[in-house]
Amino acid sequence: MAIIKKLKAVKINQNHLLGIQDLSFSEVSYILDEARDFIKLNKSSSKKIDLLRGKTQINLFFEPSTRTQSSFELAGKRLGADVMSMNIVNSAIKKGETLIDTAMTLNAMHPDIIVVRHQDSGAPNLLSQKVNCAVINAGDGRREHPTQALLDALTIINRKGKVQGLKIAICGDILHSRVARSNIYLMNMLGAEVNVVAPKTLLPKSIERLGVKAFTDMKKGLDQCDIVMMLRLQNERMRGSFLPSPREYYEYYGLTPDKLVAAKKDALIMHPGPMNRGVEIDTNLADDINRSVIREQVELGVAVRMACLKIFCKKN
Amino acid sequence: MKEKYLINAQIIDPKNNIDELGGLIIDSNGLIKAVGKKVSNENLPSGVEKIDLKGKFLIPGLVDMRVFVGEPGYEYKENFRTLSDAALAGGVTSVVSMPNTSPIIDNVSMVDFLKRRGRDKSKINIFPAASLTKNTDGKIMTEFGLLKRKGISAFTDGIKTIQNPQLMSRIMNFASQSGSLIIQHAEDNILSEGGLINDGEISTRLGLQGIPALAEKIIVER
Repeated sequence: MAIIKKLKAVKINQNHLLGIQDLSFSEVSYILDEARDFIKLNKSSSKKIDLLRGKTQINLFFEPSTRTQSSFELAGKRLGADVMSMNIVNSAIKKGETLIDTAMTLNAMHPDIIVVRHQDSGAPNLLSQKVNCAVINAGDGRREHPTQALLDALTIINRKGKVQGLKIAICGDILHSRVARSNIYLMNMLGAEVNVVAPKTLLPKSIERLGVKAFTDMKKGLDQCDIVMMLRLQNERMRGSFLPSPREYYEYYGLTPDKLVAAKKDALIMHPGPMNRGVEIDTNLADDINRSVIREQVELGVAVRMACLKIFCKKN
Repeated sequence: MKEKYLINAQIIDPKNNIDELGGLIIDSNGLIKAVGKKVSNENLPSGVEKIDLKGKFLIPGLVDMRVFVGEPGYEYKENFRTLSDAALAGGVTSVVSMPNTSPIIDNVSMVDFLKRRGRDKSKINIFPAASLTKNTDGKIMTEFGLLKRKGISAFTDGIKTIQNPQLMSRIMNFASQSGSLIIQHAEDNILSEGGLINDGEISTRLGLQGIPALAEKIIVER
């Protein structure tokens, strides 16, 4: 079923996919509709088409990534593009080259699309101003991770038929999470009611202004929720002490069966990965095939990224 | 120098409660002879040259309390001549210059240098501030009495904050003896560390680490 009636020739106004904040409802619907077409293709025995034949895609990952990078790489290859994943460890960046210089160097090789992940918020925006091709943000600092939010929405729609009217709880390290921010924008846009749950030290200032209710009590935050999104504790971004110990965190904010009872009986468990079992999520719940859609998120991630590559590559 | 006549100016002078259309007479010594609505085209002798300001603002010279002159050490950013030109273009006739130069303004001989350069190169009043601590290291206080006698108008570490509360309290005690004016940039370095922007909705949206209001408050309250 289509999310909204399939719109013919929806215009995407953006030249780049930098964040959910820049997208309109019809643009989001268009991307999700396109992604649905690729789900089936990805399950078939012959997965490759030549939609992007002759196009060059560069994956520029300044931060470690497993699923996002491989997902983008597969997505590009299945669409027939020539995909190059830059290995930052061996690149000139380690020799002190600036982001802009790297961008200009790559730009001179005439790529059609650059997929970038960077530890600094706003880096893809800067990059997009300097290159002639489309830029897709694969996660920047703690700002946005648009394709993750889009694949989360697609997963929810696949299971629940819609996002509109659902109650969604996003739990954990909201402060350092780009996934949380992109999901807050997207789920609000699609008509869901969004709760965020975190200890006070991991709640960003004025988060309510983004259109969410903030809770420090997990059970209250999960009350009657249809979707429970868990986030990873981003220890690598933490400077100084935010929490007493992983044990205390798990006790109060880890997703365990006794806390999950507050949510609806058919509530789905999501996690953008990578998971810290026993820190933010009970290991059995993570593997519960009736509740957890974590693997489905990864699966649909490829379809969403194929849609994004198709749409934004064709734009330029 | 001949007398000068300015007319049709919107005169704003908060100290004397003036906000009216009027004129100004400058006497042959360059001093103000008369100001206000009485100074108009009709009341002035005909035949003299008058400058019609056509309703533009006429104000007392502004004072900028926090000015960074690059001299000495950062002349490529700003020197006394460019500072004075920029100030005059904006109606500023007096500035308090910050001591964050290279070297830092923390001793008497530096003050002599500043006063000389200010006098020779600048068309505005320069009131140099000296640092609160030697080299703005936040460790040893400067010679408040001697510096004040040399003409230093205020003491501040400029862009830096004295983090040590014990030293700050001693500075305030000691400086009060000579009646020295103290200016402090209010920022707790530990609370603001890594911060790029005010902590709030915008920092949350942009995903940038915020500087909490507490970082300022705690220094002011102290």
